[in-house]
Amino acid sequence: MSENLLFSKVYGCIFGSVVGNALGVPLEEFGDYRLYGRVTDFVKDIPEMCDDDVEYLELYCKAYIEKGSRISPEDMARVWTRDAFYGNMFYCLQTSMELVKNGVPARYSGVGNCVTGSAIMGIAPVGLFHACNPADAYIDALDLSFMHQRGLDAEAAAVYAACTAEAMKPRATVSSVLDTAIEFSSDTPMIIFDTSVKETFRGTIGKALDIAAKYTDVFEARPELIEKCTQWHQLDPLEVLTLTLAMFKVADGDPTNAIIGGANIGRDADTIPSLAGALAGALNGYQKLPKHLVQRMSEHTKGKYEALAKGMCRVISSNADVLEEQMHEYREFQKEAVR
Amino acid sequence: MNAELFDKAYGSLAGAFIGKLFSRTMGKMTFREREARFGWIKDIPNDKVPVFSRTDYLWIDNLSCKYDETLAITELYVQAYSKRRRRISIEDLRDEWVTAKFPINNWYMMSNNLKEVLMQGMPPRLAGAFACIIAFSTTASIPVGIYNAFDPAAAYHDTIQLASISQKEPALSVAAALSACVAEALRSDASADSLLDTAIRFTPDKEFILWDEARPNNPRQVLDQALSIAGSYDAPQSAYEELDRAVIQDYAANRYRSAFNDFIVPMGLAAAFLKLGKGDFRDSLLGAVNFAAYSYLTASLIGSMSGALGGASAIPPEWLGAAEQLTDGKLRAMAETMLDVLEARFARMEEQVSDLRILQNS
Repeated sequence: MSENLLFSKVYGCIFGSVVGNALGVPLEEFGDYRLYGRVTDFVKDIPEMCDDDVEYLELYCKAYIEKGSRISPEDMARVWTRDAFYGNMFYCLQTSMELVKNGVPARYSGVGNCVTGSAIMGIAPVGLFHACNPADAYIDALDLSFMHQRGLDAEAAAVYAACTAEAMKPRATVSSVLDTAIEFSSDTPMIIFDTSVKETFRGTIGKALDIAAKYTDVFEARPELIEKCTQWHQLDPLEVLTLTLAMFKVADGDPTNAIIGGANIGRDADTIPSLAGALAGALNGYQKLPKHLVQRMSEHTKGKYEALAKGMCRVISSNADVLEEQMHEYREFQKEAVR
Repeated sequence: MNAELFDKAYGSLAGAFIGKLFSRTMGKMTFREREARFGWIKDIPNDKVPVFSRTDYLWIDNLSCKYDETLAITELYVQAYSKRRRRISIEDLRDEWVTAKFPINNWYMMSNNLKEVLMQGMPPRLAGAFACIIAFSTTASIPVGIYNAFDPAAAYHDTIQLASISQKEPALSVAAALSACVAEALRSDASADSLLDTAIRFTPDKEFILWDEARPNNPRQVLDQALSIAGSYDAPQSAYEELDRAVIQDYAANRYRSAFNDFIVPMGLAAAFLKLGKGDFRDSLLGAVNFAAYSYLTASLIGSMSGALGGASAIPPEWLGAAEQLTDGKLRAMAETMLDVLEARFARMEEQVSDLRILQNS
């Protein structure tokens, strides 16, 4: 299994997220890319590892691997309340965990929470589980996100998961991934506190992609993207998704450029390269991740995420068998109808 | 159109409706009271059947104007699937609720309330948490079972998400278990036994906190007990005394809730009569109907499950004809729509599996 394209894409997605996150973590505190210029390599001898982005991704993977099939918000909540490192938890997560522990159903414990971009972090495994089926990835990511989020955050997570599922297709392209983002983005007026935002969710993404289309260099794209595509705060999930997809497009899906571009855009500089890295890794596979960054990760770290990727591959393969059985059953009905 | 699968989907939708037609006047009686008043019921009661509560009058009104609330809610699910031709979210379902045009004078108060809070902006994921639970909308989510044909786990999963727009526990779990059973019953090799296995697997084995602190409060415990009793008898009627003693009398002694909004007992009784009737539509349904107690819901549960198992072609034609007449052909139309949606689901699935095999083999 470890040599096939499925593993390469799954591991590429997971480790792309890890590498991107590791590159961006030290940069997040700056907020403005002009304060650190151009960063193309880890800024410390030992890459800083695992903040909440990667931890949430691990928790999603763990929930899928333990269940061995599709997961519900309750399945997620069981794993999160048991295994999450509470020191990594932003206050919105703390609130949801407390609600769940007090008996509030996980399927709506995020309703009413403050929108912080936490649902989109680590959501990629939902797209992996539904590999090659963006529609189901979208619906499940939406449902799972409501464990701790709502509104823009849940929608951004769902759109991103759909993109990941599309990127897993053997014939996926940068265009097909971005078309998926547009297809699943809502085109009705957003009801958000920031009334200065006039575009719809889809319009906002479309605008960023139009800007991204003008550039082939991730560094050159930064000023215009920052000027025209940022929201009220760097944690805003629509901004995070928009800048992620824009960097993915400028990089033409290349994992190295997507990760470096994401880390160098400033703003939420750890989440954006993590998401861009996961998407580009899913599209291109593990072998295309930036070698100069991968080589500096420890063997322990590589082994840990390789094991996680193998576990996810087992679940995806098992799901493929289940789907094939159902398809077979449907075909049998059709044969009967013909007879 | 896949004729056999259509027959099963149509049977499920029509069966639920026929179950309701049969039982609308008797859910609060015991089988002894039913015997004394009506004798053995073997045909759909007409509108001249005496009614015993205000609720029953409402239901009769609904039927006389060819309008049924459960059916209307079912249509919302079908519309949501039809427009999107994919798995739907609770927000998709909300969009159908807020734009639906209903004859509101016939709309029950819980649904009026739900539509209003959704129109006022309440998140649909939260709406059911504050809802009064009531039996009629339990079978409305049958389309979720049809969409998830052959995949009971997915049907259960999706119904928990979607039906929570209008329901909270334990009603939600009953609706989800029913969807799982419908998904199982749509299989070509499904049987009464596989249906019962599915009911056992998905009926929650947990104690629910109920306002009246009624016991038993574990639906699975009731189901196990009812099935155990059913296993000792060959025909529905012969099991009435023991089922009444074990499931109804002990339970009734310390409960305050109406059979109309009870969700601990119905799945157990439905499973028992499905077993006693060996999955046959007429025998299973009449067994539950003539037991009377809880038949508000048990008859619809059995109708949808055995209707999916044997298909509409196994439903007595005069009953199916009555259901179609009362609904102006909506049941058949909904089944046709869902089959169309299923074709889209399996086309997508075929592409997905093909892609996954390429990934695995490359």
